[in-house]
Amino acid sequence: MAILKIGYQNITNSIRFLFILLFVYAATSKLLIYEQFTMQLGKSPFIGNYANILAWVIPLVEYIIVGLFLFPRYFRAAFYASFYTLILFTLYIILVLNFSASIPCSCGGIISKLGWTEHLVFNLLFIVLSLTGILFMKKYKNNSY
Amino acid sequence: MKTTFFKTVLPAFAMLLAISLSFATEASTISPPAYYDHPDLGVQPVPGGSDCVQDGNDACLFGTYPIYADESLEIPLGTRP
Repeated sequence: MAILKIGYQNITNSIRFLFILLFVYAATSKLLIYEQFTMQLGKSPFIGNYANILAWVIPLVEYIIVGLFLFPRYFRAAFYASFYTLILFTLYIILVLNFSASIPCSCGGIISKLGWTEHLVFNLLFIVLSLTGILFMKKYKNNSY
Repeated sequence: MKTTFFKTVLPAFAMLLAISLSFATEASTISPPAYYDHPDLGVQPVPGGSDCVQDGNDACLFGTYPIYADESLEIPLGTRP
């Protein structure tokens, strides 16, 4: 049982590592090209009118999730926040792909070079990882990490 | 020791790695220039460039205008497959 617990903890910590990497990378990349990111958002269907606000809000949300991942008592909240954020991003991609004539990408860094199918697969992979994190946190919610 | 590693060292390493990577890939993040044919103003650059590619699927649009990779409007850009 103890070995199993250590296994769960290692997996959860590895997922945490990946999410911190993903969100810090994505947020920093967006802020490094802030003006271009704002313009890309402005061209986006559905959310173009809110480009100026979203250009700050999106990286901020990503940094806040990273902040949650730093404190053990907020790990579960961080996994839930990651899950819902990724669901939102994925829904937006699906919506844009199906109901929009122009398809701009407002992702950060090398992620923006992914094709749309790859982007969806990438998002789905991290959604599964966040679900795994939530599941493992529930299994051992009473154990301190 | 192990707890300290997971609590402090691992997240710090992840953040440093992510920040380094974002700076390292900054050049590839900047979109190449693109152009469109405005009926009144002529050839205009697309603000912020475009991530669309040559030989893409559907034609990329700036508003209602198709966009091109060159100022002579000979290389149309399309959505990434």
